[in-house]
Amino acid sequence: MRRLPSEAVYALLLRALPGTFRRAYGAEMSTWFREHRRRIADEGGALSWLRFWSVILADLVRTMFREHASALAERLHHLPRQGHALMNGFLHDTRVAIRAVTRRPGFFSMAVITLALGVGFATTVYTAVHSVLLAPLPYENPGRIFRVGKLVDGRAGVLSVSALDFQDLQERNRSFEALAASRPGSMVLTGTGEAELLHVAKVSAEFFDVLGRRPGVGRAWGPEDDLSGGSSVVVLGHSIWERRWGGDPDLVGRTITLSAERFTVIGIMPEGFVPPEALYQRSTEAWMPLAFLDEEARRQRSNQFLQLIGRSRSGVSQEVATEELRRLGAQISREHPGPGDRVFGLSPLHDETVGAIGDVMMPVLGGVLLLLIIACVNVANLLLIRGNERRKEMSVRAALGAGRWRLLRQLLTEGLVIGLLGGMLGAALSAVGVWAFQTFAPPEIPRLAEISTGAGVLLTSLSIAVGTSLVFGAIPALAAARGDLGTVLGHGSAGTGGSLSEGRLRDGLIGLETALAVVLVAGAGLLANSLLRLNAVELGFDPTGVKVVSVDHSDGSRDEITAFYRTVLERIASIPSVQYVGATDNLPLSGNRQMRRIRSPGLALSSEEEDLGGYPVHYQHVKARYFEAMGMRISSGRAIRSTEGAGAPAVVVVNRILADQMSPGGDAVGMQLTFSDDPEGTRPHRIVGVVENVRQQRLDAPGEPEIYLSFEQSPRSRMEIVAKASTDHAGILAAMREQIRAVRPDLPVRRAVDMTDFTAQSVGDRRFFALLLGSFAVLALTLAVVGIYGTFTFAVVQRRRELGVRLALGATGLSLVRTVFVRTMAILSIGVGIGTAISLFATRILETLLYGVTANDPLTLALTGATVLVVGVVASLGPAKRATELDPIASLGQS
Amino acid sequence: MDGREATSGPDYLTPVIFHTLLSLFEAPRHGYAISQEVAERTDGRITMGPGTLYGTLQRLSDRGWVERTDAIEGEGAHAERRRYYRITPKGAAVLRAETRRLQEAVHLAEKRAVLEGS
Repeated sequence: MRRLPSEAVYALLLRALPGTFRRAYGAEMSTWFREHRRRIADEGGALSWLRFWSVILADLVRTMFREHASALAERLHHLPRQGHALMNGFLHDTRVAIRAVTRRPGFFSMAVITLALGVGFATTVYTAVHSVLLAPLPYENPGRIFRVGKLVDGRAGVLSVSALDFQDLQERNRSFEALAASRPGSMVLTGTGEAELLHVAKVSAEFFDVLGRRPGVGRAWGPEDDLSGGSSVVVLGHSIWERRWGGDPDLVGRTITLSAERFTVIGIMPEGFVPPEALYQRSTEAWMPLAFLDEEARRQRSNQFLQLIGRSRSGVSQEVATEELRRLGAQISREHPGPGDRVFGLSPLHDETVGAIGDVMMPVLGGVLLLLIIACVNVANLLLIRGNERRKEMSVRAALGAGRWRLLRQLLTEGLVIGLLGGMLGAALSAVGVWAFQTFAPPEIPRLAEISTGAGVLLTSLSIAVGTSLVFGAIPALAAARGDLGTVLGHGSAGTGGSLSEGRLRDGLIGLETALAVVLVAGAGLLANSLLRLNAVELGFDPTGVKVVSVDHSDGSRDEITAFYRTVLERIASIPSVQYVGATDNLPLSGNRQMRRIRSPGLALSSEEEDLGGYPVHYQHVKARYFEAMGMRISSGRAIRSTEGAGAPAVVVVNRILADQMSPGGDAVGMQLTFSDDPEGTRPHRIVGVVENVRQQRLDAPGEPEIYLSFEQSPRSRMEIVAKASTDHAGILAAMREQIRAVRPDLPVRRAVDMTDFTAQSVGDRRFFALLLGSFAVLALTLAVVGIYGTFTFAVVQRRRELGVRLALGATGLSLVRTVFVRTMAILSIGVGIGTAISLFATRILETLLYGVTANDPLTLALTGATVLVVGVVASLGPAKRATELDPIASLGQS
Repeated sequence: MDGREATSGPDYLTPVIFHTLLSLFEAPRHGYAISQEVAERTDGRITMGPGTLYGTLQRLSDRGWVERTDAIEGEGAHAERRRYYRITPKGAAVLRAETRRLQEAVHLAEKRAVLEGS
């Protein structure tokens, strides 16, 4: 979990307090907060934290109300004497407004809370969207940084290039000020404390120029260190420097051990430096020269493994750079013909970083804006009702000579107080919301660490809150100020339910609210529907009771690696309740893709595939009883045997898709295939078994052709050890780690997961956004209920005289309920109808997130409409019941 | 709320004010120490969050019952200027008067054997 930026959050929350108080005590309150937090940290436990924050927040809200009231009172006390007439009036209004507000705490807190919820949620989501999608990358002139590389079929998506191609590009191009290559990797840090696996990047010296960020302490290296196989130097990230060496500035110049090699630390990146996520893990903490790449790999043009980023020269447009890259690609291809054409191109680093997350975040932003509108509509409704209640009071005051402007001003001030408080509470809520978003959002979301609330965003949300309450506070005020005194005093006393146009406005607002709620619920419903379907997907493997631990034995020889995994697997097999143990180098749903090309007599190749060397397949190496441990079904033939080692004939297992392609309708077992990149030439591999399809790449994508190779025939250093246990408890994972530690205590465990959790995580981002949208929908429904209940209750109260007359004239209670009900149903139905119509279009923005349902899924839409209608009807039952309970005498007598 | 509180206030002390004064009567303290002391003494019945604490201290300062001083805490490089609060003679008088009032009240109640048989 991310480090809690609690002090920053608290400092932000303190802004809700009046300036004078904050200036006098803000610093001390922060100190208090820090000391108490330290104490709670000593105590530990989630419950303590929960209690801590609830105490802090409750205290803050109380203090906010008390100190604002007190500051205001202070000003009211002093200012009149200074004789500012205008100010006087305003202060008088405020005093009246506060008094009015405190006289009706229910109404008041309802309005403030509704506004705060809408503003808080909207600000949170907008902050996230802004920081992730819109804000420039945290580098110098980020608009000029591009990812450069090979384009596939001219489509978007920039791929890696070979080291030789990189050198050619670097020498010949004129479009880039600096062009850098990088290659992500991982190394084990030993020597100080526990062994730790680090994400590292091997980068060329220009890397720092491209980003315009250089080490804060020490230095970077020069081009001479890059490909010459020169010095063993490393630049470290700020956080690991703090974590492992306590920020010791003397570390620069000392040597550290990474994967058994010695490196001299020459620099530390500045705090807050964000590695380019488009290229590699954002948790990358060490950078070293490209010289540490395999010499052999660097000499082959076919070995394309370097990711390039470049900074364009100022004044060079993206088109010009694209054109030059295209030209250089053709040139290089002519000089060094090889498999496939080299078509080079570029894409802004920002787009590469953000990727497709906009597809997910924009619908959420849309959803939260709907929620904000619903909240504003609700507040408007409350203000209209409230204004209407005071219509008579206003009219009397107008008749007694109060100026219209004065009356208007007073209602406006009331709106202002509600708007300000709601806005401030909402801003505080959003500070907590942003923290929660950073903490609970799935790590797949790019630029998570960069999310922060800006003053501009907070101001915007405050203005929305104040604007809404001012506008809708003004409508009843204007109606009253228009001063149709006769009507108001004459008929008004009879309670006609406000003016006709205002009644229509209220009905319209309820209809609007209902319609928007339908859109939100429909969106959430579609996402929930998709999730349900994804959970029911046939995985092809059984994750129950399956535990996975992965290690990397990267420093061993072939024999050492084989021996290591044999020993570890034997030891794990002896853990009680473990039934099967196996290993793979590519866990299903882990997002890894390894591709090779194959040829086989049964496989017809397209001309393009012929050019590229064969039919593309995904592959993985498996060991021991991997298929049994994963619960994968072998439908024909057999699994690979552990005895089929280096000397034995090469064997593979293929999945059902590939088998059907190689031998439609027949049995692929016994057929042979060759790999186009096989170092041992066209050695035939015999298919010994066919395994049923597995959701290997993604949960929401059907399988692709897969090949399972024998670990014994080509050992891999990094394997995921998979154990199936008969009982499901966490102790097994610990025992597995223990067995690895017993064999090699210095090898860090990369992953230790329960396969069930791992499978669930693969739809983590989808679930997160569905949950987010779902909570908006629930909130929207709640707000709609509040609005409907409030409005219809008011309508019944206002019409009680009319209803009373009817009762007196012999109408039954039931017929009255019908009268109230017919109107309710009409408004709700129109709202639901409009909402459903909007949904038909609006839900299309969810299309990329849906699985197994269309954006116009009739069942979901029908259910949504029905739900909102039922909820609306239930909300109006209360007011309807009230109509039946009217005492005709009382309602006639009352005015 | 209406500003009168700053000059006169109610004729008894709220528990929060009483305990704050009591804690400062022993010795000058900084903010966090006050809330810790009060929480401990009252077995956690009175807990003051930072806002309540400093709001109270502000009101007590306005009435002239407590005053602020700066003190240096720690040594050498770790020394830190901290704000301490100390009770004024007026504050001590108020605390004494309140204690006396409470004592009389308890005395009265005891005479009527309120606690017996409970």
